[in-house]
Amino acid sequence: MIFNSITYFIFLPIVLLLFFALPQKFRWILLLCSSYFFYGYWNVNYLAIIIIATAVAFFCGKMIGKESRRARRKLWLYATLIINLGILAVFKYWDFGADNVENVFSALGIDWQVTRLDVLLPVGISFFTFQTLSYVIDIYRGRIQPEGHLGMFAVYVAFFPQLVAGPIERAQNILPQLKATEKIDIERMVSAMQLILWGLFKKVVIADRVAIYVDLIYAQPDLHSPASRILATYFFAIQIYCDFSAYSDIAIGSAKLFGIDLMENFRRPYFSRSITEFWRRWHISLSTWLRDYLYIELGGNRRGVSRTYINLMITMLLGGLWHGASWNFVIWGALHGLFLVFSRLTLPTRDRMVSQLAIPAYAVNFLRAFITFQLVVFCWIFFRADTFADALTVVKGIIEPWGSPLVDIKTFAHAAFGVSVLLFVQIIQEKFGSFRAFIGGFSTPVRWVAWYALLFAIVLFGVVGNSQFIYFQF
Amino acid sequence: MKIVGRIILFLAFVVAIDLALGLGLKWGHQQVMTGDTIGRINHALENTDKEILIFGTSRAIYHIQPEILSNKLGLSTYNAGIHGNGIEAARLMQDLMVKKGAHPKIFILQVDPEFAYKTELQRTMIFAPFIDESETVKEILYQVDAFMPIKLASHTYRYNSLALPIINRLLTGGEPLGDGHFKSITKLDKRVENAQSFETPDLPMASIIRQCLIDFIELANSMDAKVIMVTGPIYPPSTKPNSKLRAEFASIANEHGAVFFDIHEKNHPVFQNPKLFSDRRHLNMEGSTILSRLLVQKMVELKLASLAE
Repeated sequence: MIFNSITYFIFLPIVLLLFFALPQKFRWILLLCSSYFFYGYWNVNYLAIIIIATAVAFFCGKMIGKESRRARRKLWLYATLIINLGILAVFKYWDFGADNVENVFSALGIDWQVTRLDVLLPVGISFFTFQTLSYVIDIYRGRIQPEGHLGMFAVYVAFFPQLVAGPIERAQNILPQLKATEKIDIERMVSAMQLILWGLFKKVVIADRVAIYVDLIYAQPDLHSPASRILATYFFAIQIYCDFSAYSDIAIGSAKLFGIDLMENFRRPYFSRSITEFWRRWHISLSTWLRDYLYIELGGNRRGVSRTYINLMITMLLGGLWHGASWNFVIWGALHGLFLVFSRLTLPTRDRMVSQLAIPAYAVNFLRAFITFQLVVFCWIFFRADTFADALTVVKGIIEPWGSPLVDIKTFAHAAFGVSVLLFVQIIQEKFGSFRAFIGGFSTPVRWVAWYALLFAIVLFGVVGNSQFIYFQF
Repeated sequence: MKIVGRIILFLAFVVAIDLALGLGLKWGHQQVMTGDTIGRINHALENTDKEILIFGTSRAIYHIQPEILSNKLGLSTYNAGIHGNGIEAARLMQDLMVKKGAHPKIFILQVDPEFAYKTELQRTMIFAPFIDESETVKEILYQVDAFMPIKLASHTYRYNSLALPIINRLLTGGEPLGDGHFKSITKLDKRVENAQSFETPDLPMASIIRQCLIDFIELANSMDAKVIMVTGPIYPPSTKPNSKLRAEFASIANEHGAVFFDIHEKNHPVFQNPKLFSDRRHLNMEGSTILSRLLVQKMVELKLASLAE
């Protein structure tokens, strides 16, 4: 079941009505059943994976909580890591590993065929695996106590709004909210629905519209002019932001209807003035997860300058690999790692230059945001291209004569409309903190007109068809 | 109660705005008489008095010159092909034109055996503005997806993705569509001349396409009109023209009293000349002149029409 489908908008109100009709003590049962239904709607067999991952994390967490001996605690922690990361590794990386092993052996002149699993990747496996891991690691670190209620814990892992593409939540944020008695709060619900509406707009009016052009060009980049490839890459930057942040908005809005606040996942990342800032604004739940459970665990910046850079590179490489079993994702992560290192290395020099040249702050900020955006867009080439060869074709196009781009007026006009609205809203959000707060200052008719305009823009300009969200594949 | 009142008010506004927007868009839609999609449908609905009507995809638009048919056969002709749409759309166009009073002697339906193994029903959504005018339109559009009856209850949704093209055409106008034929003067790109030939899987016809085709012929039969199904060449020449689908078209034509005129580069080697194409699937003026003349010749041979004095 996907958020931009009518099925979801039938499912959501039914669950919501039942949720508020039930006494608090039974609500977790409803949330668990509906979450498993939501997940099983794709492939009922994969429910087994989420149930195993939940049971393993719950049981191991409990054992760590009970144990006082460090070695035993570590043993249970490793058990969770091996089983849950093992499931992820098998489903997500087995075939990729097999390809690479075969290639290595083939280069050595040995013909060795590794068995392929050839199965469809279970939706959202990377997300719920990370949630179970953070829970067990936090217990091991003594930050939280193990959850005593298996059902509540299962809801934390499988809560349908954020199950398949995050935000990757922490137990200490969700579990207390699940246990709290929630009453109907109209203002909260209205704000939740507005967030869902905004998410839908970004998905079906912007992301799915520019996707038509991106898919066309990236299907066979060598058949199109460099100008088309470059334009498609910029469009992809818009698409992936609108697609993924739309998912997060709908997830946060849906959870809010049930009285649960999920963490913010995007904070206008393309306004970032450095790659470091970009990662504080982009996929925040993943970047903070990687920071807390990988980067800091590796030593963070506590072990000297060169070790800090190595830690950054390792974190970004694994962050890239988390996205998918492909060298393109590894390269994407490596490029971000390199840019982060370079950014840290050159920061003092750049700051000195700016102060010596006395460039106005607004110009510096604009220039930094512009350059950061170009770097991020460059990295997207590797993220989007189907193969490394395709990515190279697009990269080579940058230095070749550009030619003229393939122009699809209808797609361009729709994209221009959507992006203008997006930019307008984001500038307001950047200035006022929230669009809702901004528009709240206007009279009721103006506010209503704005929300109706958004609703009918979706009806009129949205792409028909239930297209998947990009991050479902991860 | 205040909350319930607000919800009712909100929903009432939604319905009212939907109706008002839908009406406004309907008016705008009806004014469009140029362009590739909306204008073609509206313009065709203004040309229901012709004796020969041509239906099909962009290949119909490029390949068949109404002027040649009119001049040679003395029968008024109009090309009502629609870009990017197949037999499903042709069926809807035919139905709407007949409902508007069309009573031609001959229906020419350009068909693409290369693509008839799969349906792209989504594309027929350009007919959504006509949903209240034809049960056939409703029946086909409702098959696009399970929730289409709910979606199309919205008067605004019927113009999904059409609003900007409507505004564009109203503001900028465009070239008049004339007799519906597109006079392509471009030549085939040199790179395409050396490209690999286009091959399709040898699969049976999609059931919905089959049904639309039969319904198309049956409607013509009920009007005592004849249907000629005509295919077209592609470049580079296909190494194995889809024989299963071609046989299926021939069999349907045979069973329902239509004519299947299979023109491809193998049985008409004249079309192995790249100079006759504007791209891989579309003939230019030179190519379409040859194809139109072949069509006239065939119609005369079959005594469906006679040469004008």
